[in-house]
Amino acid sequence: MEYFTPHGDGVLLRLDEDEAGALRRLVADMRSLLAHDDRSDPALERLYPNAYEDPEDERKYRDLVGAELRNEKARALDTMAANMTGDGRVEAELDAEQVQRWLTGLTDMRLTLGVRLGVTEDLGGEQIDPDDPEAFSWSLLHWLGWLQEQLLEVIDPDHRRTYG
Amino acid sequence: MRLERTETIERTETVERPESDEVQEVDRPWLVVVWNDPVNLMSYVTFVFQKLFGYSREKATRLMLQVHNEGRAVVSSGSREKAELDCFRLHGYGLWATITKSD
Repeated sequence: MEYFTPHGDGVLLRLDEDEAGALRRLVADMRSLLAHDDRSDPALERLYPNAYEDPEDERKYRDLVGAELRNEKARALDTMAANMTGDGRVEAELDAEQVQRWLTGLTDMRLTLGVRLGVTEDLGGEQIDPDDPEAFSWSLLHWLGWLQEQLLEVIDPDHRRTYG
Repeated sequence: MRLERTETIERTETVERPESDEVQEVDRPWLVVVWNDPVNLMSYVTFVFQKLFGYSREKATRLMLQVHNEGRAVVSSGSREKAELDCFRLHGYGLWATITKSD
């Protein structure tokens, strides 16, 4: 399945109804996660990592960039939602800025799933155990990685030669 | 960014330095370190280094592999302001970055 294809100066996104539905649910889940802004949540710790060991330096860094970082994360989700309006299949043209938002939005989803699943080893081509109660989350994590890989291939012609 | 905390570097003599893309810690006191994480794709990490810092594919790949194999790599350095801006942008792209002062 080709989700992203080159289209003029941008990228054409195509998702069937089920794929779009899964991504819309992920956008909604991420929005509710970011709305809580509870730093004790390990997923938020990963999305907003400490820059400094020193607590005072960290507080000042947080005062300086914290709000803007939250805005950046929210804007990525807003872009994804705006490209997937309605409740059916999706066909949307993404400009260069929207492509960046998709890349970071997909990343935040993968990081969050990775924390929830307790991923500590580098992900490879491991088989998903269908009896694992988290099998669906594992498949989402891999699928989002596939989406991201495809998007990188479309915007960077050298990408496939290096990583394909 | 935080202007009042800009590091001022006093230099009393001019030192000729060869052109190099390597980190020169002497006059770049703040280091931005990226740490390995098990989720971000290697290709994505390379892409981010190229995108944010304008590094060549070769240099970005070398840094990505250093992160992957050694667990961490210094990806940029400079004034405190610059380090914080770089760290912020890396956090925006979902990379695990920290700032340390060079010894």
